[in-house]
Amino acid sequence: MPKLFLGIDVGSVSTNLVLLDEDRNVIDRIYLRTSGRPLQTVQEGLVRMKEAAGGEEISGVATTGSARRLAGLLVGADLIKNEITTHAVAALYYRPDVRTVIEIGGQDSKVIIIRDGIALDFAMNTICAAGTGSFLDQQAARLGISIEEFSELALTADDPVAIAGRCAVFAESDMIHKQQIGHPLKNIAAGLCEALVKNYLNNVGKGKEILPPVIFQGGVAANLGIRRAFEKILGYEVITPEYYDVMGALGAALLVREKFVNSGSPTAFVGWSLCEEEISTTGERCHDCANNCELAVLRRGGKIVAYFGDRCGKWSQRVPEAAATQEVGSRAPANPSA
Amino acid sequence: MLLGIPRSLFFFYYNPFWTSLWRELEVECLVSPPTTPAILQQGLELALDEFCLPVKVHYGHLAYLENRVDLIFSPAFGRWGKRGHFCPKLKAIHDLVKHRFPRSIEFWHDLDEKEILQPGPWWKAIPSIVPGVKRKRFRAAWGEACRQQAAFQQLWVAGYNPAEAAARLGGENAAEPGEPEHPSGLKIAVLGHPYLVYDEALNQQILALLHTKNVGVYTKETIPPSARKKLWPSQGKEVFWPLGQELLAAALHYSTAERVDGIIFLTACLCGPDAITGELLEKYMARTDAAPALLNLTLDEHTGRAGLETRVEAFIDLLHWRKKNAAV
Repeated sequence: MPKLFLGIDVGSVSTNLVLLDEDRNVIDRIYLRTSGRPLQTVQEGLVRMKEAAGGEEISGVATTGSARRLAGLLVGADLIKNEITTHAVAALYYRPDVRTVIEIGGQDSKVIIIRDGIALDFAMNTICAAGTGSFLDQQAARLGISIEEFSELALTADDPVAIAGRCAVFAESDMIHKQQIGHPLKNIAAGLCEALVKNYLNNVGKGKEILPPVIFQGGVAANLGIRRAFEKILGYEVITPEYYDVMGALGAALLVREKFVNSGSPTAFVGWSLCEEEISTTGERCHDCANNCELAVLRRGGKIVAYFGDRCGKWSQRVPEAAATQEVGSRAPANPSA
Repeated sequence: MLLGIPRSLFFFYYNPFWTSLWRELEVECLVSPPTTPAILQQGLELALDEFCLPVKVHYGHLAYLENRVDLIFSPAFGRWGKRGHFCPKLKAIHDLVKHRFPRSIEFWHDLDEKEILQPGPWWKAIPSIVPGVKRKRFRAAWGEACRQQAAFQQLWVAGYNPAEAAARLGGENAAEPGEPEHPSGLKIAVLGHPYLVYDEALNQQILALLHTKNVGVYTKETIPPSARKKLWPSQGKEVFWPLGQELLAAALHYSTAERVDGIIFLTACLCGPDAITGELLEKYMARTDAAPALLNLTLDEHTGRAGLETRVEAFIDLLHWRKKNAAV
């Protein structure tokens, strides 16, 4: 019976799961909208993965994404890994010769510079959300079209208009202005794509040497307009991998496979029974000192599994499981292509 | 008479001096607590939007003290060395705050060419706190405060960063410095202004985070004094701001003499001088072979721990990755 490995990426906008076998074949994957309910979304994804696994047990599970710790404690992760590392690992799995990874997600965007199969440098956007998926969603909605239509529309442009991409607020007022003076929608859509790509290259990609092969991944990679704008401005082909929207989860699964494929150690995975269990989080405030930390309390089947959000650690360290998984998360990455 | 001392700006450098001077003059002091979310929030509400984050936090500390003390010690920072200056906001800081905090008394910090604090402006200001103080008494107190400060800075030379040195002087058992065996085998230098590196609320406890990742942590203050003034290579002239120059000298030191694996450069949102310092640093690192990896972190009031943790963890992974590759 082949061993199965599960990667879970819980981001602000989407939650993705990938089921991998020991030969690194993707058995199944799922992309779900987090919709502000990360735990329930993970549960929903697990139901699908249980089916895909035919009810077989899992040999290892890893979590990544901004809610990686919460998700890790919930499922009993063997590895909790930051999303920059998992994205680099997944890109290397797809193209061992990759030299640049462009990742644009819902709330953040990053660039990872890879040379000779080694991640050398990375950058992430700062608080500004210009040039990320959320902004595109919002602008498509303002134009009264779906994000899919927006993507198609941009491709039909004959003469993209210039739009200020420095800032999401400026871009928006610029777009309205261009609309009012009668530019066709398709040229505005394409102009916006180019503005966002320039903004990305100037901010996130500032000072980075972007060399081909370039892999473009993350939810926004589905957007044909953005993809074309990248190719136009960079001057070379931009590759979008088959699993572009679940690369974080894929990287997590690859890393936990690497760790467990040749070892007999048991997984910390709590099991498929999690699909049926009652899960909740509640907010509480600790008043023991002037910091007044906001605590999040995670409960599984009515029992408290973990506390989050305290600065001093007296709550989060109270649950032994929390300490154990945190240690696992600080391990070095493995290079799957090596 | 109770005097309030804000735990902000250069408190992290001058705390033994400030507190021991007032102790010697028998003035009771209240130091504001380490920055709390409430202090930060109040600073954000009181200060002009375009001020840098540390200045906003300074407002928050003054506001904390306002209703708890009789007078407030309000430091301002002028000259630094022969031709150097603190940044204009730190020079003008008392003029900025005095309208909102009328019971604050300005104490001007001027450092001469040997970087020794000048007592002149203090002697003029002290009667508003200790009326009728005799010159002899002031001199004795000043001398003692200088000795305390020297002992504090001696600990930096011995390898304790200012936070560890302050803990040690305060009687806490800080860990011995030196070259401990770090299980990860990684060394990271965290460079930035003291009010960022040592204010845990602003930097989201980055030093503690690195310690939990078993990384050896180094800062600007613990490098040998001789290395602190090294000129930035191929610069042609000195960097205008002495603090920026020290940061660059430290980066140089940690890239060559005492090489680390990575450098984390902490800057505050809206810090003017750092915009240039960071740029120079980035360019130098990019054109130097085998330079340590560089991570630029900009701190602002929105800095959530999750985003910072993600960047730091990925940076550590990257250093491991590089190291493993170099070993092959």
